[in-house]
This record gives sequence, C-alpha cells and structure tokens, in this order.
Amino acid sequence: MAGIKPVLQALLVADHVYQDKLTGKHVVCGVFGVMFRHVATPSDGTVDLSSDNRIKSGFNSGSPFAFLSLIDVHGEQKFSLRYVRLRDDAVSFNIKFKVNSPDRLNPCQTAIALPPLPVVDGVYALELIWNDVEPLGSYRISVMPPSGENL
Amino acid sequence: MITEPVFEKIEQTTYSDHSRYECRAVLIKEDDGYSVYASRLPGVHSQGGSRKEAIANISEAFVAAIESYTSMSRDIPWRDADVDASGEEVWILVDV
Repeated sequence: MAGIKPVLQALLVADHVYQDKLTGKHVVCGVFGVMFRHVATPSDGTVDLSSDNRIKSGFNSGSPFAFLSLIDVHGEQKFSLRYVRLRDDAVSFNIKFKVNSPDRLNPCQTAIALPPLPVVDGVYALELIWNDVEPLGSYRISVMPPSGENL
Repeated sequence: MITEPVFEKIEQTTYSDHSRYECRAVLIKEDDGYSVYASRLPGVHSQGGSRKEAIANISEAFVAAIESYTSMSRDIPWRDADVDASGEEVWILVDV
C-alpha cells in the first residue's frame, strides 16, 4: 500500500452545492437520504404507468451534487465515486477523479455533479474509493414509494 | 501562503445494463502471500503471491461465478457481508 490513506471528513448528496468564490466556502442545499418516486400525472389527468420510476417527488434530485471533504491527501491521489445498488452490488455509475494536495494538512473540499440517480425502489450507496479498491466511506440513499403506497 | 488542493475529473461512466458489479473482497495476509474471498458471494475464494495478484485473481473468480449463475438463469445468492476482522476489505469494480 503506497502513501498515507486519506481520511474522509464528509460525504453528502444534495440538490445543489454553491461556492462563494470570494471566501471559497461551500453552501450545501437540500441534503437528502431518501428519494420518493411516484407515477407521473400528465396534464390531461390520465396516469401514465409506463413512465413509472422516471419522476421524482419531494425535491429536484434529478442531477444532484456530491459534496466531499478530505484530509491527509498528500501529493496526487486517485479516487472514485461509485453509485451501487446494495441488493446486488450492481454499479450505476463510476466517476474517477484525482486530487493534488501539496500539504496533507490542508482540507480538500469540492462538489462533484452526479448523473441522474436511478429511482427504482431499493437502497443505494454513493461510495468513495481510494486507489481503485480501498473504501473510504459511503452515503446511503433509499428510494421508496410515497408514504401510503404499498411496496 | 496556502496552496489550494487541485481537483481534476478523469472520467465518468454510467452503466444501465447491469454489466458492472462491485466485488467486495477481504484480503488476509498469509506467510507466503494473500488469501482472499468475496464477502457477499459464498464460495468465491482465491489467493495470490502479492496483494495485487490476489485482487486480480478474486476479480476473475467473481466474474466467473456471476457468469455461471446468469448462464444457468439462477439467482445470484448474495448474502450480507461476511468480513473477517483480521482482513483488509477491498471493493473492486468488475466487468461481467
């Protein structure tokens, strides 16, 4: 194993992450861990069952952001963000990125745009992996029907 | 003066056909190398003279097991992760 293993301080999924360019501060808005899906209701009032699982409710989480904060990143380090369905460990997407930090004491914070999240019922995890194989942490998201609807 | 860390996105890949899985494996250091097993798929074991070789071998064994179950149209018998406390957990992205 090469180098110091980075430490994950925070991993969040939110509707939006803004950054104040003057101070560098991140503003994380609409953090969520549950997504509700419902059947789309077109304007003519009919219910289109074929579009089930495509429409979300409760928040605009179609293309959310991941906010992450790391410490103990020394030099150039490779990371991956994976979105995994925990029932069968199927991977929906994988984002590879690298971080170059000259001082490992510096906190490394960023926001990464995510692709649309699947809205099929189940429990998922956004996982941060170091060097392709070493897990640093994960963030769970459940997709479920709106309350009152049977699974 | 503080030098800011630099983030750089390398690539982004999405999968809609369930062709990618995450193989969760546990590496155990032995006298002459590493033994390794898939923590969520029973019966998938391997070994290697080095850590890298053991990871490559368990990836192959994992893919072979998944392909075997799917070719026989059998459900894959996922289980809750069985992690040996003395081992090192690795999460490997594999193509099936």
